[in-house]
Amino acid sequence: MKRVEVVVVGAGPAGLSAAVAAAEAGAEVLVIDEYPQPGGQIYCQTPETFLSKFDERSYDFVHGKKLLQQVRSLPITFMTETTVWGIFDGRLLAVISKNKKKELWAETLILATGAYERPVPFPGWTLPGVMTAGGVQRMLKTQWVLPGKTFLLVGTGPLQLVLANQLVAAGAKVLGIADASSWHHSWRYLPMMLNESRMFIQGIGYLWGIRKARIPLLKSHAIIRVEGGNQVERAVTADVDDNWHPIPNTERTWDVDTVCVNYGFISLVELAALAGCRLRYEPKWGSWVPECDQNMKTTVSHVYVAGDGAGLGGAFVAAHEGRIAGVNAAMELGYYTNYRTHPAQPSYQRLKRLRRFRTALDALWQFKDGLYDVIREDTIICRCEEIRYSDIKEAIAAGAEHVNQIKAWTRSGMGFCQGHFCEVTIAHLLAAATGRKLEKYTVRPPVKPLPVEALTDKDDVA
Amino acid sequence: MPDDIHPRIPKGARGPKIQFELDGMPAVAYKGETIAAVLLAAGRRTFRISPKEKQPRGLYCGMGVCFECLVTVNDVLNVRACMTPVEAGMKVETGVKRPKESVTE
Repeated sequence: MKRVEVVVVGAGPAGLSAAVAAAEAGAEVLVIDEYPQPGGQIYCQTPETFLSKFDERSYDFVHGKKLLQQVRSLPITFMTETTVWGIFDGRLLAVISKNKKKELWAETLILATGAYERPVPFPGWTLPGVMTAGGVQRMLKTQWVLPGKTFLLVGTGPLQLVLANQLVAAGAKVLGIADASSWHHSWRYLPMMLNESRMFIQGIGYLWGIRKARIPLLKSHAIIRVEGGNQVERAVTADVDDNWHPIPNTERTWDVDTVCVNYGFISLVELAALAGCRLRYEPKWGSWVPECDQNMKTTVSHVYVAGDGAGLGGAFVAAHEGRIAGVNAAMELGYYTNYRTHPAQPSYQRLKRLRRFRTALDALWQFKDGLYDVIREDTIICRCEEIRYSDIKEAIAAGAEHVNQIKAWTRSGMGFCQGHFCEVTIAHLLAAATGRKLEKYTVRPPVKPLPVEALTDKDDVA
Repeated sequence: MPDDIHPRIPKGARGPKIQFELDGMPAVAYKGETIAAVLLAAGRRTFRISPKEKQPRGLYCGMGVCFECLVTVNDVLNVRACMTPVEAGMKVETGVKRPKESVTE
């Protein structure tokens, strides 16, 4: 089995920055990622065979390219198209790499797994044409494919504003943006936002672009349902109150073929859980995150976390957290012993300011669970196993007290996505009905589906 | 495949084309494109039919987490269309396909 000094899981801004920081000190670094190319979601690139780079002037592209060049100038090994499906004894990584199974032994482990979009079930959310905003953005940025013709953007937060601009630039028709958060009290956060003037100006730029394209931006407005036969034919939205409870008789109908949804993000923490790291629930993000100290070290001594998988902060926070994690992992291995100022010192300082900015964003766009009111008896909660709200309600009525019981009784969370898209909702429904604390399904390997051959002696698992 | 799926992209910018097989028919993709991109560019939004209720499903999360976009690639079931680049000569099948040795029904 191969021993590696620093194993980084995830090749987004956090993972790449961590890899650079550790490799600069001379540590042996291996980066694992599921995609064919490094970059993650925000710094994703078009395939190498595409001739011109369409989005060349965009800030993300330039920043990502700089980071990738830095990565290439260092002796960092990459394992792309590789899935980590299990971590055993905190150090043994079981992976499937391009259909071959492999095991690795990590001296130190940096988990930069990122986040995924918070799933909010509403009637019709399984219809083709309902996509996450991040998925649509990725399709645009890496493939130059518009996945629809007429778009409605629903959700909350800055991604919708960015995506609207990108869709317009790609020639799509964006009929509207429904943002569930309200303008109430937002002036309070203005000083915090002005602290990061460049990002603030960027945000104003996105708002200006939306205005120029005459896209209505409706605040305190959310998705109620999507209708259609074999795909999205129309979407219905409504006003919501401050806790996002839909207000009756305020519905609007939109004739669109694509609905982009983003009600914020959930950190991907299952690998941290498998590594033995203690998790905590963070109410301001509505997500479980691994506990970590200011050096990004988790409760397991050789395991570090960075980026959105360590708590939601966006690409810049991720890069600095990555640097801190990389430097500290290298130090643990005996590198970076002679220095006058700490090699990650600028990142510690920068993070303090960036986090203040994020506090404002978190407060402005915090998820409110009144939106779960849109769930009907027959709304699918678990997309994989096709479990409806009525099934979940039945399980709760029958005395289920924990999410794992609901999983065992209804099969929710047992499908391909391994509970990512039903866990949050079921935890909420159970907590709301019983008054108990929010829970998580127990995390077990494999965290992603794998061919059964992966558990046999065969090397090729097809 | 229509070039106008992203109207602002200059013609030819996608680079070389490759041949593959989609649902038993010859098809063309640009090298490096994911299976999901090829399907959506061709206007095909249903990638599979859900096993229990036979409902259409397509691309949802687009980043490898939700497993909604599963297709069959070179007879291997349940491959994520959003994560898998098309390769020359590849056999891609949409819809639900049961394993050959399946004895149910």
